[in-house]
Amino acid sequence: MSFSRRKSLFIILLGIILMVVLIGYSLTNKDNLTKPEQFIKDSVGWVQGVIYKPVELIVDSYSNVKELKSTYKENQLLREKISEYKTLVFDNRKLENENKDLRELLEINESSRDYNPINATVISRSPERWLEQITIDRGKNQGVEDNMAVITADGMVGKIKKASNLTSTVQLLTGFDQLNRISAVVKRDKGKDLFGLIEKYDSETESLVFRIIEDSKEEIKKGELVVTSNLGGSYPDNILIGEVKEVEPDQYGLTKTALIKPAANMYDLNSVIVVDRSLLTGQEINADEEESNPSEEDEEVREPVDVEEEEL
Amino acid sequence: MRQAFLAIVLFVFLVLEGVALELLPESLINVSIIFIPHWIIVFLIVVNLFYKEDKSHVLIVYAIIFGLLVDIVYTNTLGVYMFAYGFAFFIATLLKRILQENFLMAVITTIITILVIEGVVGGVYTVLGITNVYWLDNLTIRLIPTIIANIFFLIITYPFIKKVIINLNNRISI
Repeated sequence: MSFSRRKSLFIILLGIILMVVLIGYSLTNKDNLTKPEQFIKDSVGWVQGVIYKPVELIVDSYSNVKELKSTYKENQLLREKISEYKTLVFDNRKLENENKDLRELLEINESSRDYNPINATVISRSPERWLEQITIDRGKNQGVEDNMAVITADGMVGKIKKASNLTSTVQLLTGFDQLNRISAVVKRDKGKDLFGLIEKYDSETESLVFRIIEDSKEEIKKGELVVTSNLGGSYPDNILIGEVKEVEPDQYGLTKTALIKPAANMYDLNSVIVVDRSLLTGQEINADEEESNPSEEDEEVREPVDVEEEEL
Repeated sequence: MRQAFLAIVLFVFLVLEGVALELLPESLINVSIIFIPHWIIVFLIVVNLFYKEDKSHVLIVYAIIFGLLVDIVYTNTLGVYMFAYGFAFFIATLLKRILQENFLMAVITTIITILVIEGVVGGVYTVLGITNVYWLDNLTIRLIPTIIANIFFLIITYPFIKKVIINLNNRISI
């Protein structure tokens, strides 16, 4: 008896050591998933896709039948809206052309706003709810890479945490912490935009904490829109994050902190868009610089960058 | 044959844990309480109850392997669920020696096992800084709903698993 107890104690201790080693390994090795991990993730993701799609079809058709009742009213409302949009579309096209001409005049080819959308379907949500992660059915093979922004039609929902070959894990905004800051601006019709950082998600108030770095005499009002900023280096400009819910001074009284209600619904996600920024991201630029030898010809270094831009 | 059957069922549960949350209506997910499916461990507890021979040392290996798979697929922090599932199942096997094989016993084992899992996972995640939930809040927000949800799962699947395992046992004896 005492022997078996000692044995089991020994095994538990061994288990704890193994756990600590594995945790340490997964916390330090942040760059890439190992091959076995990718294989397991992809195969589980594939099975999830197989199960998810037919079941979702049934669930969807059920909710479709429910929605049929209100269709008539919605249809009328939408028709009214469409007639309003017609003029807007015309204006938009005119402005777009003008913008394009002006850009050509100035010889600016790429805008920080451009991005290449990758459509993806959500196939699962992590059962560990503290992490707030979902899995989508697009991976490296389709051009998804780490740290790309993920959006829906309503606005930003998160970023790619780890991309595997056929699937990738998305960190939702509701799980953002100090390590995943987003540089953002308060968008204004008139006057200067206010720059700041989204620091984390506060689960008590159910909103994002937005620290405004720039000093401004103007008050920030409730309902103002907050969008991503190109200056962060990984997301394109002008992706809607949410609207200001409340403004409060920082605990030291030096800066202001705004609470932002996310625009997109994180709990009802079916299809999302992965945003592949057309401009090179900060990391890619750094990587290129590291790769290039300062003594070598600059031409050769620049060429692959150009090719990449054209492809995008 | 039996081993392959067990592995496939466990794999299906692993896959479904993630899909189920995504398919649940929004009104169930977007609330302040959260519940975590521990279907793999609940299934293993019931299998362990009704297996004719004492196969707990094999089943504990399953608990560890599938804990590691949960880590890889859903959490990206390896080792936490692996240890939690392994340790919790070890305690469940100890309980089997003391208690008898009936439904109430399965419920008690499930409650204790989930307490252990949530304790280990919560403790490690707090140390790692992944969460910082106060223990008292955690009790009402996460622990109690999780236990209730998993017991609900146990009530639904218990008769099926019992039938299948007893069937398997009989087939072996022939």
